[in-house]
Amino acid sequence: MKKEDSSGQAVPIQENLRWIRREWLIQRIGEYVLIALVILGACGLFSKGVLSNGSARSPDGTIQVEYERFGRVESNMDMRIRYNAPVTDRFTVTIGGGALDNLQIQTLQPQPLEAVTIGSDLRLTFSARNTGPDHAIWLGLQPRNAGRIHVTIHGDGHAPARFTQWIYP
Amino acid sequence: METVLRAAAIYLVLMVVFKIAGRRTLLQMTSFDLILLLIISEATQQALLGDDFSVTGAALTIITLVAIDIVLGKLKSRFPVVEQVIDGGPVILVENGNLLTDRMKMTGISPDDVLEAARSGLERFDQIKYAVLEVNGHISIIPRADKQS
Repeated sequence: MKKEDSSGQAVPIQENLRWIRREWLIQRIGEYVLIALVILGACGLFSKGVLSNGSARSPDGTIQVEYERFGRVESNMDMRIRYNAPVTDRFTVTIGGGALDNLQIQTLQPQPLEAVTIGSDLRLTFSARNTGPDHAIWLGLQPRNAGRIHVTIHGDGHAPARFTQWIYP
Repeated sequence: METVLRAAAIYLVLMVVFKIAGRRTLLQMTSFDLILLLIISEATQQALLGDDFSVTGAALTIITLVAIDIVLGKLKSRFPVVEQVIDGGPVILVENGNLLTDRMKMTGISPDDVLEAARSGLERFDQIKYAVLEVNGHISIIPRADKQS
């Protein structure tokens, strides 16, 4: 009986109390980190939310862009361009700054009359016959690469609206 | 390259998240947890493969995941520190009938959990010589020789 007892005490349970403490600490901190990530995600830190809604305007105020500050690779994001154009038959909007190297246009409304490239910029010409000066263009975009994307948008010859978008992998 | 990176990233994320969730999640696997795991796998699957429907892509992903597992396994057996970090070690919860409350708190195991694991033959804590939380989340009970009925 006694012998059995002593062999029982020799059960090799190697525990490392320092690591158990450390593990506990990591878990405690990690729980807060996870909760914070969920809240931030709900607020739109990872696209689509309050934190993600951005708007940019050109210095002269002719172009106003509503965009998403944060996007994710291969998921959709929206952009709305408002343009106060001079009243003529057509107006042009140019999307550039190398943005289209990283952004793929999925949908474009309304359809342009003409789309031409100037370097890596895309110039879209729209009809504006019998309309007022205010126009809107809706874009559905899909980022192709992660990282920071610089976008410039200008209408006709006006100064551009500049902004950047951050794309998560 | 992207496929390999995706698989590695997902592996890392899952490892970190389940490390934070702790061993208790493994211990108390209810039917809802099973559903949760299924949903997690569903959410993972898209990010792993993206819009790649090829056999090569799937094969590469599987091979990458298994290879990471093999490499980690080798590292664990080579360097005990790595094993300690990734898997953690066993934790003694009850020693000679005494509850080590500090450790129970740290591992998130309640005295009821220990009793539940001991219920197959024991009723009270003083019948337990050692209760050990194992790496896989189960609680091993070593009964006291003299108190055993």
